[in-house]
Amino acid sequence: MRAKIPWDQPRPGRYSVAEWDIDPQRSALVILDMQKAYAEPSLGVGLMLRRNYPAIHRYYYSRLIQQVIPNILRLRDFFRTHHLEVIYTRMGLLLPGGQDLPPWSWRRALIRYSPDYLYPYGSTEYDLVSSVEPLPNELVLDKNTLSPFNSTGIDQLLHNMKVENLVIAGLLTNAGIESTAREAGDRGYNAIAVEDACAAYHPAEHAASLRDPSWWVVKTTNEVVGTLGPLLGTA
Amino acid sequence: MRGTITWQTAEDSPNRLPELEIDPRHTALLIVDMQNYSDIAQSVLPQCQRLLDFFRANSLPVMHLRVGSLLPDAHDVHLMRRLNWLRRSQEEAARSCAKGSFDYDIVAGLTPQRGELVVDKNSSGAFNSTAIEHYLVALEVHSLVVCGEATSRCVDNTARSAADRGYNVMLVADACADHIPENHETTMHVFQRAFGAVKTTDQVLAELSGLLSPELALSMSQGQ
Repeated sequence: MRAKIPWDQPRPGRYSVAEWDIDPQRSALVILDMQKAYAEPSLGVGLMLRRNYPAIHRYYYSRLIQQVIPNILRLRDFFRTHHLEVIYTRMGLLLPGGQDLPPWSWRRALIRYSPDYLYPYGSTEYDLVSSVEPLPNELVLDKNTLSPFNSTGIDQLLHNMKVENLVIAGLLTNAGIESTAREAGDRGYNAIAVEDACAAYHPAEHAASLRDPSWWVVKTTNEVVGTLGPLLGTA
Repeated sequence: MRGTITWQTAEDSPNRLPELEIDPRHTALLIVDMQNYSDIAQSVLPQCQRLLDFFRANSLPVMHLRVGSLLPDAHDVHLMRRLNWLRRSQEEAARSCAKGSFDYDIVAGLTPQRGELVVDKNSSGAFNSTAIEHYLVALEVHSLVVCGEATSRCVDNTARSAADRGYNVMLVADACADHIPENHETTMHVFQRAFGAVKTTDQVLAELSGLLSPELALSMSQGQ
């Protein structure tokens, strides 16, 4: 079942692994923070961006609608068809007043200063957008950090489910996606960030985040489906 | 002792926090991977030394990180990293940087003293292979001043995870080194927008001195 797949892009002055031996059955799709707060143009940060940063609002939500959401759904269909794990994360406050964050933390200060940054569990904004509603047998992890490795038991859960390869999509590229990919790769997972299934507030920040990854790789939705598909066979 | 310092100053950044109240007595210095194997550590050694002298002089906690394999044959390290550890390019042979070797030791000038924790990691970020958070809790550290190398690799991975876990992280731009200048800039840009503060060595020393001894800082600012 194990097979070699194309891995890292060759980069000048860097060592890169051209091919990597993986077990395609041990793959999971991690869909990060596709919540109404961050993916619904008229809710959560959408309201703040429209008011204060209209150019970001236009760029960000049109990218979500035209590219990110369709690609996430395509990846999810592929993972479901092949009976591979699909895991969702939700970011926010686990307690309404943010008591789940340390009182001295910059995050606690930020939620007081910028109330559209994190929404509490149970609010409309905290919910996943309706297009990525999970099935009952798919994990949903609640976290008050960007990366699930910093405030959930994901490491143990992946170990239990025998997952070695993480395909990472969702929001935002230079925050949740990059942090999760860095930590997953650093912990020994085969971590793939899907460049056309994630978004940042600025195209330049998106590109900078993906330009020179270490211990993780960047691929397109087509590449993920095209590489894993033949290895997994017809479901 | 508690006091307010500038935090995230980029005005075109959504969700920034312009200033933050910190307690300098709960602030630690974290020096990342300033080891003999490095060919860039010397470029930021003077800034790291200034920070280290300041933290020692004020009896604030200091932690040193070291990267490498814990075992001579590196079988404690995950496979992908084992294959290309410390190899800069396709042409270069992998070098050994195992605990106990000269390459693994911290550079002269930053040698840890008794009373300073040295944390050994076989990963890039300290939170991915060590019990660093256990030590931060024990030392009652809330804020971290981070310097060392390489900016976009071990420094970024460690600083990101710390900030994501809620620690107030000040990344010291002129005390961090990277082989690729563009990577250094990307890390600083992203960090000060999404994770914490980016400061110079001078700023960190001035702000922390101001909080630790307000009378002295005031008289200095008035030129007395």
